[in-house]
Amino acid sequence: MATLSLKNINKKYPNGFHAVKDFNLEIADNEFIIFVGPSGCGKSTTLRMVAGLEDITSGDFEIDGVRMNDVEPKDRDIAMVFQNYALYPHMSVFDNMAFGLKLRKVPKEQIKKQVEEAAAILDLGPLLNRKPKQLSGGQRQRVAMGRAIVRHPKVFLMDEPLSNLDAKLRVQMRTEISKLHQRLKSTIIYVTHDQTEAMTLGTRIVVMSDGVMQQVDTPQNLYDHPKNLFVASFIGSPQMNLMVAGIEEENGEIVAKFDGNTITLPARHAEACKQQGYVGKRVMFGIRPEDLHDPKFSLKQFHDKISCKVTVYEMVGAEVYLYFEVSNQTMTARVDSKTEARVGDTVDLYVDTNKIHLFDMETEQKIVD
Amino acid sequence: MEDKKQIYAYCHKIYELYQIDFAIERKKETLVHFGVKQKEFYSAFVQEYEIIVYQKDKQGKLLLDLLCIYLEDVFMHRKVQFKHILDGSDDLIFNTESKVLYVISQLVDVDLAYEAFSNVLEKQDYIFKYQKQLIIIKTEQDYSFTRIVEDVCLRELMMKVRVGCSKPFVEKEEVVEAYHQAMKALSVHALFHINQTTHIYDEQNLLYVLAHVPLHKAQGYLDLFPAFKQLSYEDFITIQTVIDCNLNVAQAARKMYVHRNTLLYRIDKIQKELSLDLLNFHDALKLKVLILLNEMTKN
Repeated sequence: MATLSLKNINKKYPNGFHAVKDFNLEIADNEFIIFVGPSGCGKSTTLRMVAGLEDITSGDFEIDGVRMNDVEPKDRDIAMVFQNYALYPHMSVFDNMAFGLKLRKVPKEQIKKQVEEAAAILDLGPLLNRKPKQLSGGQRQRVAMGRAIVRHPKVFLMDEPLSNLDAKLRVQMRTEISKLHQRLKSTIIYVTHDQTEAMTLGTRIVVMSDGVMQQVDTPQNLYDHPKNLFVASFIGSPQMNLMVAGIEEENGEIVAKFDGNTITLPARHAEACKQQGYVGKRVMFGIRPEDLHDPKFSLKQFHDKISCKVTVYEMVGAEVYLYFEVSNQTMTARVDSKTEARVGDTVDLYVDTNKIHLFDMETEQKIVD
Repeated sequence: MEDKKQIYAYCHKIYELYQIDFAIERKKETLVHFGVKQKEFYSAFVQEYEIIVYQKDKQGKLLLDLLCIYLEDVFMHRKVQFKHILDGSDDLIFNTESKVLYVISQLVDVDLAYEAFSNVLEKQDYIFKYQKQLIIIKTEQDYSFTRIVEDVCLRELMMKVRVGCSKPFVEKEEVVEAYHQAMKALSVHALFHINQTTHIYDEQNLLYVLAHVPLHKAQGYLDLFPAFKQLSYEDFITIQTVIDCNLNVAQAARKMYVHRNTLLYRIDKIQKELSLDLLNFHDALKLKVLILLNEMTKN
């Protein structure tokens, strides 16, 4: 459908606020790109610049190699789906979906064909004669999407399209959007604050914070190899355990020490710490909750462990979250549901040292990948 | 003649407050002139008036914006009549239900927009083209039609527009005043950098008052809270969202997609920095005024 190129894009408002800083991204045809980040991070602003609803202060934006900065939004061949969609109450589903095509003077036969095609993709066929008030929330959302699909645009832009739906419907619609992408084979840019949506839908994810692109990568790589502290803490639920640790050399080995625990760093981490001069300094030590194991139910034996007192036990069905305090920080371990650990127990948890992450305290960048 | 006197009186007052040289001309004839003409200036047209400000800095720009707002007021009261706005349709039949007047401006294709809105309106509603704007009179009690307006403009027409909304009204005689309100709602956004599509007159009353606060007094109020300038963007979003949600923490947390405790932590942080409790009505009001004055002085 389309390739997009954003080069050194900046957005500065008249009041001096720099909403988007030096944004660079190449989007391939048929990609499902997710912009994710906390509110105010610049993700919606970037999307609106792509749509043309927001002027680009500096930089170049291209679709299929054609510069779009000064092209009117209506001429960019883009369709948008917003969080606050509005269906026209006195029109039927068919008319709602056909509305944009009628305005573009598309012949009636063609409109009928395109609407019926879109309705079939979205399972809206039997509902075409209904009025919006006769539809459920999910059906209304599908009609809103149908209005974008019928136009056969080069690019779909979706700004938090599921935020107004309840939790159950969101999961259902998430699956539908994923199927839709496979069927339409189109380029989609999708903005969300919800990392689960980002991880499940995106072929690539752009993590943003304070107007700056923090990392662009596949969901798996973002999770396994966060480049900095922000990405590490933002991606993953429960989030990565992070604590300040001292790096020391002990008996010829490089170790991380925190709150009475000593973790031997694996060779590549040890080497990097030595070479980059971190020995004798403090770093931010990170480990994901699933990389802490209850020794009784761990299939693998690990050399390093941390000792902790369980403060909260949370059963979530297939697994259990154990919460405990280390260095005055609440940490979480995601362990087997058969664990015998309970609140008040002091337990040893294995640390899978191959999965640890070390970050520089000042730059917050990862020390070793 | 009456206008000329009125404009002179206002401009004299403004000059005394700001001490910035400026002039207003009409068809190349100088209507008012204060101070000395210099090289650096801002200028803008409001209908047949040209405003020239001889100071090219943020205060000069602010003055220009203020004079524009004022002249738009004068012009509308003097010039705009019912028949102008409503395309000569004196024979409108108004029901007794409440209505809201919408002004949609900055349209790149007024005819296309007219056609689009004609399709989404109902029998009792009216739509007119007036000076590259669309005027819609929609029978409704709240502002629920704003969502449709934004949807049609941003999603179907893909046009970045500004929408001004009047207060709800009933009588035909109130149309001109409603138009005036919608235009005023539109004009004030530039002064306060309100980056949103729809501007509702009723929600901006405080802005109209603050727009006339002299810059040095605004600065003086800001100086009472030196830590305010040090607040992060996240703090500003927090203040704005909590106020928008009527100080309801749970609602604000949902809107910001953060945990309630995270929001409470941020509110606590703001309190420590400014000694203002965002969850206390009086302090929240002070914070709201601080944010608006800050935007105004940044101009």
